[in-house]
Amino acid sequence: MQAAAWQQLASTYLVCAEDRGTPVDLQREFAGRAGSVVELDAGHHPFLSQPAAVRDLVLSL
Amino acid sequence: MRVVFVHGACVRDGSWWWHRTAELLAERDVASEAPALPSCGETGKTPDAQGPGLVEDVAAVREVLTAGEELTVVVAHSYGGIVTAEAAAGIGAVRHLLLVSSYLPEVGQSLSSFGGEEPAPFLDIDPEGGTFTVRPDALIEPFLQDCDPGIQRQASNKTVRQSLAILE
Repeated sequence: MQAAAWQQLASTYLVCAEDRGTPVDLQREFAGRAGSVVELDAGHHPFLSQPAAVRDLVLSL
Repeated sequence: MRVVFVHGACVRDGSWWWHRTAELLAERDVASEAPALPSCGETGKTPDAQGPGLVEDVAAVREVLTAGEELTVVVAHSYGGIVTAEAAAGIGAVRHLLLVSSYLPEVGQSLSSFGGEEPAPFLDIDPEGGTFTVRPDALIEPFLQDCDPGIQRQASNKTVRQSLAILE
């Protein structure tokens, strides 16, 4: 890592609370570095399982 | 506004992974793009221990992000967050980063900083060949358990062996 864009740019972290691959505690730790945090009851791929929620989030940014 | 989606580890075809949301965004006149990642073998060279690695992935995403002036939201998924953390730095057109179940390194950290003492049980690691992937029988339950069966089936055909050079 040479640069960390999330330190310079507006950022939102989407925590996937039902993710069984990436532990939710680890996600929440990373999320603390982002500008804002949204949590969704979804697995690792919310853009496939809950696309309307992800669309709404993208459009709200 | 446009969306650039950066996919996660051990898969190809970011446009497919993003397609359900991309279709809904297109109805609102928001276009999406998904750069091909060299470390996943998407740009012609078969990955091995020498790469392509994180440097090449960063360059590929950066090329897409600098291609126009249009305001851009970058959606970075999982490993894609590591690529994006570096690729989006200093690019004025990027308005927002959306990190989805993503790794978020500090400067100086690499993906290997986040590993436990044992490799994750769902990974198939080939140290000699210099690649790793998700075990086919361990894809659905950890990663796609809440997706419909059609998506789960298609996803199984979208995994690849990725270069271990991304860990450096």
